Amino acid sequence: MEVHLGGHLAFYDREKRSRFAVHLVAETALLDLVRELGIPEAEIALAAVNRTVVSLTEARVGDADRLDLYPPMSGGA
Amino acid sequence: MSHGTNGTILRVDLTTGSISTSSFDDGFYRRYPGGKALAAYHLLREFQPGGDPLGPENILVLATGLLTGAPISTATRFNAIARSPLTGGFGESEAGGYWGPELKMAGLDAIVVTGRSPDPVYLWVKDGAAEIRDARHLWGQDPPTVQAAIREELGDRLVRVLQIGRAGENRVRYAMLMNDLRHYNGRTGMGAVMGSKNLRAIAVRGSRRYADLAHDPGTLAELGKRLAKGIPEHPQSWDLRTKGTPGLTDAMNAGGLLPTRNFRQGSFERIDEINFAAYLDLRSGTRSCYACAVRCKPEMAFSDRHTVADMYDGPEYEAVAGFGSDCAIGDLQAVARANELCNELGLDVISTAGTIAFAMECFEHGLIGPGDTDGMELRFGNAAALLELVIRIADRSGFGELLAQGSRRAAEAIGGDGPSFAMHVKGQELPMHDPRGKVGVGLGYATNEAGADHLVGFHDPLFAKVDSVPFRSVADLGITEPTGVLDLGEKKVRIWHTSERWNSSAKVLGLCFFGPAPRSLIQVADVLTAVRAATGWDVTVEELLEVGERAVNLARVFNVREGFTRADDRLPDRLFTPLENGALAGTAIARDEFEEALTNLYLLKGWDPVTGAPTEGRLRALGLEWTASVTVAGGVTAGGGGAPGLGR
Repeated sequence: MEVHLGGHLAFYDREKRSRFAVHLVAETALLDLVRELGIPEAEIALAAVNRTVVSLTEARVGDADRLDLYPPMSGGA
Repeated sequence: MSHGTNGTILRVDLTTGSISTSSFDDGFYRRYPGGKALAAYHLLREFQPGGDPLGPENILVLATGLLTGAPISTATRFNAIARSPLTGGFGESEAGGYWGPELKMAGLDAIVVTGRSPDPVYLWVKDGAAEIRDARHLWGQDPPTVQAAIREELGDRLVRVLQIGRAGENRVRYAMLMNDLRHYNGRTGMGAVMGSKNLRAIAVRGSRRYADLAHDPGTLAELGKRLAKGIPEHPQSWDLRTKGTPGLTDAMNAGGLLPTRNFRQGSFERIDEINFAAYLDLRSGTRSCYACAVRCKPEMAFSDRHTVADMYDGPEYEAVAGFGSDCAIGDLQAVARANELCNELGLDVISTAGTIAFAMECFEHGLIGPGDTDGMELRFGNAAALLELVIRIADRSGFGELLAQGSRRAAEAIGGDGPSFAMHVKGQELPMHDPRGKVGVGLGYATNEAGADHLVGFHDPLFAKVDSVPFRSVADLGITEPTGVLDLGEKKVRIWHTSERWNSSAKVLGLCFFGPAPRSLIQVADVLTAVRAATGWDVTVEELLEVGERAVNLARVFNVREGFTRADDRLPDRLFTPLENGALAGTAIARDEFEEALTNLYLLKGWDPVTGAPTEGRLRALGLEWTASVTVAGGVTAGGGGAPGLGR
């Protein structure tokens, strides 16, 4: 599946990647995937699967999905 | 002896050509340490109520923050403050870059400019001495030419040049100031004020070091080194360095609060053409402000369907959303060119984009037609019309003359449903953050004395999750319980009040919002360390919050004196109607909840909930009893500026 880590969430990827692919052998709970990826749950403000906002704690994802995760966002400049 | 400041302010009367300085003691600086507080003090003291913002009677104050020029990341900012020609109220805009630190190194904390020169001039400031010089040959020239010519004339390529562009010369009500071409005091029309004084530029050169001013330069240097070293390990700073503000675009769209089609919608169907991935294809590099290791400022250079050179900053997120989604233009090249035009011509990006989006909606609804718009089909998505209009606004030519007045005045002139399409507060166009997705930001838009501004307090998502990095960083401010992004209850109001005082103190200290908590590269304790090392004052968090609150109250008193009331603290009606699409489709701010939150906020601030004016008791508690001669709660008692209206 295609994963996009928005904002500073890419900081937590070992290779600091914003976009990458992971292979899921079976449908899994989104929260389990997030923990597997090493992204702190508290830093995730928004999760979207296939561009639809979902509950981080309730959603499930499969290999054909696209996942977007975003941290709390502010503004400036 | 004072530390952390020069103790000296330069005064320039352009009508008479007189130049002088005034000095203040340590006690004064502890109340008005710099930036917003120092500038607002002078504006309130010296501006005669009701004066024309574009007349010689307006007073332009350029003030460095207490820490501006200190060797710590983000201590770069200075404030430009005057009566705003856009709002008629307190005008305020900050910028980073190099000019503010250079002014501090030139032995000055601020410059107070009064009067109007009969001919175009520029001001040359070197190590505390100043000279008014002829600028007739510079008037009408583009900013790079002006900067190069001034440096050539002065024989010093390191002179820092603050200047206006063509829009400022033409007194467009939302013209901006720029320094070193890449850093902008964008908001509230400070460029028009400077242009009205026939002052094209202020060139500065100084030879002091902040260490010469500081009480404990060693501690400051150590702090600066630690902060710079920590940036790669800090998630938010890492994000600002690698992505900058354009990294916001995707999240705003996904969350359903990316302003689209003049704030009718929260999601843009052509997001992939303006998002960060598209941005990276065009970005040519990043730059920094003075001594700042965050290095967040992006630049672009490309020659394709449009051509953009890397001479100016951005586009930042505000331009991407403003010219992109809010004008429904899914073409990042056109967005970047519009941004470059604004910088070259000296226009505030946010107000320019907001005013054009307003005009596009008027056109779509048939309130104006090609006969009004110089033949342009001014529909959403028309990039060619957008680019042409930016130039016409700066030149005040054709349809641009109307839009150069800002969306509020243009809406009144157009009539019909026009005013309902003008997305402004107090006449200033909304930044690209929809309060329907973060309602605290709406409190800031409504109450801010300078009109809609997104830097008044912390955006709601930053304190929505208890274990997040930003939330943990604000515990030292007394914020220990999270609240939801759409919550308008008393807890949210209390958090908002604290965040407003803290952000205001950053404007006094000269710190960019990308440094201190909740961005949290600079923890609250680090800010205290910096102020103590700079000044020798044993300051506390509460004292810094009070300094920020004092600055806000100075601005509020200024507005009360000009006739502003609670009725001016209002959001556009559209924000109380549902978003049309996106993740927040159907979401609106509940008007009764918002009004109740406003009342609660006034009470927390010590302001009269009916009039919105500070109470005499609160002013006295802040040491502002001297302002009571011009206003008390319940209304104006002296020097009243009359009813608010388009004339101001």
